[in-house]
Amino acid sequence: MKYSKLLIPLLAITASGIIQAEVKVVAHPSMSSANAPAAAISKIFLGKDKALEGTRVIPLDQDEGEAPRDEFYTKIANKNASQLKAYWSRLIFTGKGQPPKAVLDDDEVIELVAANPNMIGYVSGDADTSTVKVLLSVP
Amino acid sequence: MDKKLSLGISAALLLSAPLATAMSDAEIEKRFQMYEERIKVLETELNSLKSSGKSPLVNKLQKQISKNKKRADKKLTKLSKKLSNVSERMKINGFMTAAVSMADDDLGTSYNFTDKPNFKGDSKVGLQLDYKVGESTKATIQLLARSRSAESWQVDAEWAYLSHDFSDSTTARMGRLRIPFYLYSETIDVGYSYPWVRPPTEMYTTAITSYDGADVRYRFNTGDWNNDIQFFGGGFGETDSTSTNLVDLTDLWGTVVTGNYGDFTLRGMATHISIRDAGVNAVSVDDDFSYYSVGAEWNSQDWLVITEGAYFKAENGILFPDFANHYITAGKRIGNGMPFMTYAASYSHHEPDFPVYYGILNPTQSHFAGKSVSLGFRQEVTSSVAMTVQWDHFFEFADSGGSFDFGGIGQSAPSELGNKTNIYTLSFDTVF
Repeated sequence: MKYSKLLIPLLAITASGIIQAEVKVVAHPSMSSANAPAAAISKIFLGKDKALEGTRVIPLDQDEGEAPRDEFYTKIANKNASQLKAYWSRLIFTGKGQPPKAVLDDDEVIELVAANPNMIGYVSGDADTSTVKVLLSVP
Repeated sequence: MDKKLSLGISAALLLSAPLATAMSDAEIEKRFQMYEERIKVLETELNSLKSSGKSPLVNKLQKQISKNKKRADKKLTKLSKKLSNVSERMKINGFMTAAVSMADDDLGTSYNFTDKPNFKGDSKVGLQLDYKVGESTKATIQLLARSRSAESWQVDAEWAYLSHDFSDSTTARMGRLRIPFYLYSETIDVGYSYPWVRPPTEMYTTAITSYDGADVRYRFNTGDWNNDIQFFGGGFGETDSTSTNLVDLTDLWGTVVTGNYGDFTLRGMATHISIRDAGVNAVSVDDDFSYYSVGAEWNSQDWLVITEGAYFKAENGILFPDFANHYITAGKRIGNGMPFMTYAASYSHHEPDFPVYYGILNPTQSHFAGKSVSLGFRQEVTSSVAMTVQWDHFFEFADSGGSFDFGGIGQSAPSELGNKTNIYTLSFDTVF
């Protein structure tokens, strides 16, 4: 048990050989669900659900090409950048949905989430999250 | 008539949109400059006074400056709010396919396959405008320019509707909509949304693609499944295929049920189609049709598997034969590329004999059969541009000329066409 905590990151580093960056899902400090499952968060960002654990939330995306964006969707929604684009094109051009509003970077996500009780966003692992609540952290 | 109207509306909206934005932009800039200049003047005045040591006047001026600054800030936030309101209300999205194809034979069809490089058949460009009319009401227009069956490019409003959200789970739409026959019917022109250069022709070459009517969608979750039930109904009069010259007055209604569980999607569709007073050789013909399809898709970061099957049943069997079609596609994602393979087939049965309509619905068209195997490779060039190469091999036509429509009912298969043919295609797709 004790070793597993050490072993997993070690294995991850040696096995992948790729730099895996952490991504954190953040919400307003007043958000009740302290531990939101990745599947529920994925549904919010893919427009399949509008409420997280019973609370209505507005997802905040990051602009295309931002590093945390690709990390987030690959790990949480199981989709790479082009799959995500194809996914949204099937919704946009059939009138069934529009992707979440995208903001500039980590700082803007934190700023907006800290000021809005119903917003939810994601930032890279090294972002300062002292003003928001971290719902999920994926290495 | 209503097509022209919707075109006009959309054109007006399209034209007014950037103008409105530009004006508000310029307005903000102008006001900002004005206030900045005013502040500068006051500041220089203040500095000169500071050096001469007249303190009561300095205080007064300082107050005036801060007041002006506050006013400028307020005006600025007000204007930028107005501006973001406009951009928030309006969404413009587009898609484009630039493709070239070449076939062994002159196959005609709505894709214009010929034995020379053909840049027209698959190429198209679409522009969609979504405008939020109210809190939960939206107007959408999708204009599509393509050259398919026409000699030159033409612009059509494929979608033009008003939609209203009654709740988070229920949405109703009214206007011109796409018929949701299959998984990719509603995005048949958005090349980026599917792996192929074009959806399998055995299935997706339907005479009708749009209808004028209404639909209602209801979304609900059962456990980890996201489900969607759609009811639709309406009539249609015109299509992009010449074969519908025969058909005057028709209506259809149906339902689609979709379930999604993570990477897995299941779908079922049932539609009833009525054709009344179809004018064939000056004889009025009525018939009713039932159309069913089922589909499944596995779309993970490693694999893409899509399969669909459909069955078309005619009540009287005097206009069209019964037919069935199906396909399966499997692709493996490797980095930004994906090799894929497709097997597809379609065949008619219970063919009507045409004592009355002979010469219009000729035997070649009443009976058709064909299979195809396709190999393709899709490569993501950038995050929004994909390049696809595809080779289609069509075979086993059973003396029918395959499942190609040869430009419409009544057009016979080219006599030199044997029992097989090939199509080669290179396509670039983008969404923006």
